[in-house]
Amino acid sequence: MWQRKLKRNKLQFLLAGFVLMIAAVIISGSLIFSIESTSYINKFYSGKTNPEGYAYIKGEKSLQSIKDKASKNDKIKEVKVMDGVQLLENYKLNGEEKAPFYTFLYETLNYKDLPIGIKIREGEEKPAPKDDEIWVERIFAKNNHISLGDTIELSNKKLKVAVIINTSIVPNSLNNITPCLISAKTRQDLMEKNEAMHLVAVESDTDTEASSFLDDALKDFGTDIIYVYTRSDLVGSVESIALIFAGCGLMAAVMIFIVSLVIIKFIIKSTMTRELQCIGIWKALGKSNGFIKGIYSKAYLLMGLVFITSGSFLGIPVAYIMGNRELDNAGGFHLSMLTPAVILTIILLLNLIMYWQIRRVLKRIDHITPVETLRIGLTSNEKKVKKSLIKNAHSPFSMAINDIAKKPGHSIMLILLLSLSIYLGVFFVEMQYSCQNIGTMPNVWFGIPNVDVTLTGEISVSLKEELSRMDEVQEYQVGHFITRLGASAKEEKVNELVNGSIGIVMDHWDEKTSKITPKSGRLPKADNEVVIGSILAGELGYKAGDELTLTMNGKTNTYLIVGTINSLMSGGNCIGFTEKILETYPDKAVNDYGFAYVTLKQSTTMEDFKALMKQKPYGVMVGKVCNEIKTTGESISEMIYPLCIILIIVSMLFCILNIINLLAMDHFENRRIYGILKSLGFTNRYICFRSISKIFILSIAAIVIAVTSFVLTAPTFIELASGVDGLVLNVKLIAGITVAMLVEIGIVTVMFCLPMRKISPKDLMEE
Amino acid sequence: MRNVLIKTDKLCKSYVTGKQGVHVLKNLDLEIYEGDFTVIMGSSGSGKSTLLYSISTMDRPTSGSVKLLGREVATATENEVAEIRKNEVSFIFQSMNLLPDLSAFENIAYAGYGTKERTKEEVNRQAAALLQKFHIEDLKDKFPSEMSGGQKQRVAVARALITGAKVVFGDEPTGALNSMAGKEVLDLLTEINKEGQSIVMVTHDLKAARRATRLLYLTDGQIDGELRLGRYIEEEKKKRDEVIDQFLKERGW
Repeated sequence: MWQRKLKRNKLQFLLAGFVLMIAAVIISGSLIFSIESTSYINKFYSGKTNPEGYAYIKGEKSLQSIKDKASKNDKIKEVKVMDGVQLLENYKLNGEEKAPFYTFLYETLNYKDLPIGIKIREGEEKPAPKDDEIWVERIFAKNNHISLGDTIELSNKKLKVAVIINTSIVPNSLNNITPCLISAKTRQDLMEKNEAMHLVAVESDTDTEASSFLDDALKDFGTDIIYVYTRSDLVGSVESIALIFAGCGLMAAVMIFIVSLVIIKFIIKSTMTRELQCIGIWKALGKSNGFIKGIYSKAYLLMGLVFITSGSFLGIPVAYIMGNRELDNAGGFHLSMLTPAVILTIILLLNLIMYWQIRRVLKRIDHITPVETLRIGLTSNEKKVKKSLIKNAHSPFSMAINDIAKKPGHSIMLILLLSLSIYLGVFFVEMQYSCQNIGTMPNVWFGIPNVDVTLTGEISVSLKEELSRMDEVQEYQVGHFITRLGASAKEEKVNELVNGSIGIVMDHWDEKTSKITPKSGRLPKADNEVVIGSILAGELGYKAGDELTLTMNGKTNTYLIVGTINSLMSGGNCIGFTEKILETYPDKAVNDYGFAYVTLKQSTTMEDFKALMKQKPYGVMVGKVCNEIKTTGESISEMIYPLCIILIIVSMLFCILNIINLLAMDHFENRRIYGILKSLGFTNRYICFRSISKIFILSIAAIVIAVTSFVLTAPTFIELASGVDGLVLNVKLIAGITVAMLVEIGIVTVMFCLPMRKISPKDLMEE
Repeated sequence: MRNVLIKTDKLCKSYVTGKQGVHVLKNLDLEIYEGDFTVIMGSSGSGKSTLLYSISTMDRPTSGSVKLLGREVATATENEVAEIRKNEVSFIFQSMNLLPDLSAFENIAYAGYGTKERTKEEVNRQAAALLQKFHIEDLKDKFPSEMSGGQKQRVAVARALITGAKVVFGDEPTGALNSMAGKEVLDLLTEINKEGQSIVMVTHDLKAARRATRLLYLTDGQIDGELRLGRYIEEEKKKRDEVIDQFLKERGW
């Protein structure tokens, strides 16, 4: 009996099954991806080529001191050093002037002997670069459009890109410091004009010991240490992305699964109502409740088992797509024995939940008596029919309104699933758009000015004078980054956090010009005023009006916190100063390398200004934002892109499958009504318009609900996930996705009306 | 000379069940006249309902011609057929087929809106008048699920009349009713026929057949006999019944 039911309603089961399968695919894909990538990355970094701590140190004295300190510390097993050079000048790529070569170059005789993992991705396998070669890190190469065979000119030295490498200290593009490899001779040549930079790798039993050692060293060596991180930081950067991906995927999948269950329960209830008389007859013939429930539940359980199982396995390729994107630099995505365990758990859990929900719905059968069902009749509606909302209705539109009002349960169901589909579609499109625009919204994401043009490089006095004279320039601000403050504070907790903070320095902070809107308070005006990143403020428990006493390079100052800003710089650990702070850091690298944030007059475009600056001898990079921000934005966007595309497609599929399912049910239940209408002389067009009008009205209601919910909730979700209120609302995009879904719904609705054209009223009325 | 409302010429209707074709109507020629209460009878499977659906536009014949009020309907387009169903013919079903979400008044009025260039107010007035005529005013706001079979069928008859159709077709309109309810419906149909409404009805019910002014007997998809009778008059019932019984007996009823 249940097999016959399955055969008879196969379309319905197939559609409901596909929706369950989609939910299972995403749940499985998200879970496998996050669990396997987290597990893999922990194993990856537990190997010998992955020491517990790393520091970038310049200055030979500081380097020697660290080595001496390490030898006296019994918790430190070994300190290995990679000798390199830091370039801050512009470089040329195939003869074309480019931004400063913001990375470190290390010499080596054999890459396999280095204290970090190196893997050759492109180029010939050999132990080390020759004197006229450079091995470029893959993410750096990608972001700067450098390919194998290209020629890079550094300090008048031409080097051929012979190999593209992965390194273990750059697991993804969130890690900005990307090492390249050169020969010892090349390094010697470059050292004539540039500073030495060493990568010190510290081995200890635990990350904490290494971190503790390096933090102590920071106190002594201040700004000689450019950057410090541990293996946990590397693992964390991978895990955080994995968690964001998995979190978004799971959120969507759970919502889809819940709605699928609601729809399946609705379908079962409708089916039971429609087949009430059959149930009554079975009971009258002596069939038990268990037997009757079994007819319904077995069909659905089989459907669940087949589609949930298939979906769970199909999650593997989804996990692969996401994982390979994220772990491409860290050796790629790998499965382990965890995957079968995850799949089995998902299959069991989802099926159990489905079974439990179906049993709850079928409990109704216990209370049905044969007499009631036989008295009610074939297509009975036990509920009292509601009065028409619009009196004397005749037009398809007014009848559609009445149809909606008379079946509130069905209408709410349709609105629910349409709203959810539209919400998800809009959410993921907007998320992708916001990520794509990280680079164009530096004020929102990084707490740096959002202006017409940013000049990157040495912002000399003569350049500033030139900018002041130029007719094309309305105004400009000058800024710097102090990549590591190396600050210390009295309180332990504050000390830990401010030590690694980044300093954002501006010659003057102007809210209107920079478009930086403080999250609280205001921007600094006086030299003793600062703004701090909202994430840092949250961790410190500080707010506008509090004081912050910092010792930097031996100088202690008390600053008044006048406000907080949104910024992901250094994971949100950032402090905004006026230019006075530069006196504390008389470092060429900090003071000379900076940014000019330029607002152009309306008559000048960025392209015109760019062309103008190219003719001038300042050697600065000209772009909307500085290159580092641009590449970070592009990297994040590239990582998020496949996930968003998958989820957008899923939400559209979810919408279409559920619409098909509910329309199929609707049309089946209403066949007799359509037959009566045809017999009364209503045309196919009228009947179709009535159906389309109903769906159209419900879709509009769904769009209003979805878009309103989105505007109210999405900024909070994005802020919770990323730490900044970075959602960029694009009205055209929102309109586009909602129109696309409306069109999709309209097409499906019309398709369902078409077969009715040729069917006679007699055939339609036969049940 | 009476007007011919419906004329068929070599009307055929076949169905395919499984792999076999079933020829229900075979080259049937028929005329239905204005003002008649035409009753079609025959044994089960003779093709009565098939004939009714084919000449009323509820179904398409397989071949042959059906001219309804001078218009060929067998090959008419969907829109043309819809227009005929809206304005020229109406149908009363055995299972009533009222729209379940509309009240009695709405079921009647809805069928009338947009017909014969009348305003909604005119249609509403006529619907109210029909409810009164058929003594079902108290059912005005009730829904089909709240009515008895007889009440529903009276609403169905009212619905059939609101459009001012030239022909009212009925497929066993008393088939699902008890004898009292059935009699009430037959009385209604007889009354409207006396007022000039043309009716074509299929029935198994002898009591219904006795209301006919013209009785047709169908056997194996062909007209096997015709009996012309005058208007139904209660007082002349006995003589009329004898004639009808004889006619039917001769045909194996």
